[in-house]
Amino acid sequence: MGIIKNEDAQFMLLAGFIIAIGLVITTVMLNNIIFESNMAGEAGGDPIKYDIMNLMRISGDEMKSAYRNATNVSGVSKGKMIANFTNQTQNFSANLPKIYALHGEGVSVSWDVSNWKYNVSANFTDDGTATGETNWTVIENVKDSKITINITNISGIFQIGLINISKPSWINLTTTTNTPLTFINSTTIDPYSIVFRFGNTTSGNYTITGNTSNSRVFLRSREYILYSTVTLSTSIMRTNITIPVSVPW
Amino acid sequence: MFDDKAQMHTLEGVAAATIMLLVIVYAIDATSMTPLTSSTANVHVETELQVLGQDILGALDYAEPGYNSKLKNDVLTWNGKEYVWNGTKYMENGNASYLQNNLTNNLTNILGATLITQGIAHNVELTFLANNGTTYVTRRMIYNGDPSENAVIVFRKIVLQNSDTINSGNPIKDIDPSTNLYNIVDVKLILWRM
Repeated sequence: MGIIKNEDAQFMLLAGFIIAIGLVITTVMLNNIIFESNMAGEAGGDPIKYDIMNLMRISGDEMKSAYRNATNVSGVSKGKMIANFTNQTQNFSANLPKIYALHGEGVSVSWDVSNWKYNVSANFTDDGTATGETNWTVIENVKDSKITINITNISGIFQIGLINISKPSWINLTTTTNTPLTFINSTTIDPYSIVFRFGNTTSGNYTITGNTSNSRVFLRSREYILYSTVTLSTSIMRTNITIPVSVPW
Repeated sequence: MFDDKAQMHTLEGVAAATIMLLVIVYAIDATSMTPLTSSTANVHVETELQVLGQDILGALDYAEPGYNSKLKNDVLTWNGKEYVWNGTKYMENGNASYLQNNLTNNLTNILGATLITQGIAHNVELTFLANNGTTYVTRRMIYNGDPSENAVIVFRKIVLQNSDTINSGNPIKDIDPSTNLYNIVDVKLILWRM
C-alpha cells in the first residue's frame, strides 16, 4: 500500500492566503478612493479665478486712469478727450498680452465708452447700472464730508442718508438739478455713514470728499459708467467677461 | 486519480509574486518619502501654499479710490536691490553692513507674519517689459535660494502710471512715453516647504 497524499490542507492554506491578500488590496484601493474624493485640492486651487479677478481689476483701473488723464486737461473737446483715452487704453491692451504670454495665457481687453460719448448718466446704484443695488453704503466712519451731486433724471425720490447713532438724517431729492447741489456735514464724536437710497430711480453724477474718523482723506466720485470686456484664454478654458467701470473713481 | 501538483504550484507562484510585489511597493513608499517628495499628500500642501500666497497678494493689492495698493507702493519704492532673509530681517544680499540696507515694507511685514512664522521658504521676483516694449526683464526682490521641484508660484499684475512716484534706483522703465502708461509688472511670489 502506497503513501496516501492528501493536499487538501495545503489548498485551504493557499486559498486563505489569497483571500487575505485580496482583502488587503481591496482595503488599500478603497482607502485611496476615499482619500482622493475627500481632497479639495483641485477645487480650491484653481489659479484661473485669481487671474480673471486680477485682469478685471487692472483693466478697470487702467480705464479709470485713462479717463482721469483725458479729462484733466482743460480746453479740450470731448472728441479729443476720447481720442486721448483710446490712445492710452490701446497701448495698455497692446502690452498686456506680452505679460500674460509668460504664463501661456492669452488676453484681450476692449472698452465701450458710449455712455461718456453720448452723455448717458450713471444710476446712483452701487455699480452704476439700473439693475445694481439700490440701497447701499457709499462710505462708513466719516468725520466730515462735502457731497456734490448733480441729478439729470429722477422718477420718484432719491435719498442721501447721513447715518450715525446719535442723529441719523436723510436728504430727500425729488427733482433734477440745473446746477450741482452741495451738502457739507461734519461731526465731532459720532462718525456717520453716507448711504444712497432708491438709486435705481435716479441718474446723474456725484463727488464726495472728506475725512474719515481716523483722519484719512477719502474721495468717491462717479460721472459715467463705462464697460470693459476682458477675454482670458488658456489651453483648457476661455472666458469673456464684461464689467461696468465707474469713472473717474 | 487527480494530480493537483501543477495547480498547486501555479497558485503558490501567484501568491509568492503578490507578496513580493506588496513588499517592494511598501519598501519604496517607506524609504523614499521626504518632505519634498511628490505624492497625493503633497498636492494638498501645494494647494494650501497656493491659497496662502494668493491671499497674501490679494490682501496687499487692495486699494481704495484715490490711493495706490500696498503692493503697488512696494513695487514703486523698491530700489532694485536683492534681499535675503537672515533669520531676523531681510538684508541686502552681499551688503548687510548698514541698517539702511534692510528691506522693510508692506510685503516684508506680511511675509514676516505669515510665511516666516510657518517656516515656508519664499522668493519674490518682478517681471516687467524692457523699455523697448518687446523683451522681458526679471529681477529678484527677495531671494532665499533655489526653490524645490514642488514650489508653488502665484502671480499678481500691477500697472504703473507716469503719475506714480517711482524710486530712482528702480529698474522698471517707461515703455510708453507717449501716454500715461508706464509699465506692467508681474509680481511673482514663489513658495516652498523646507
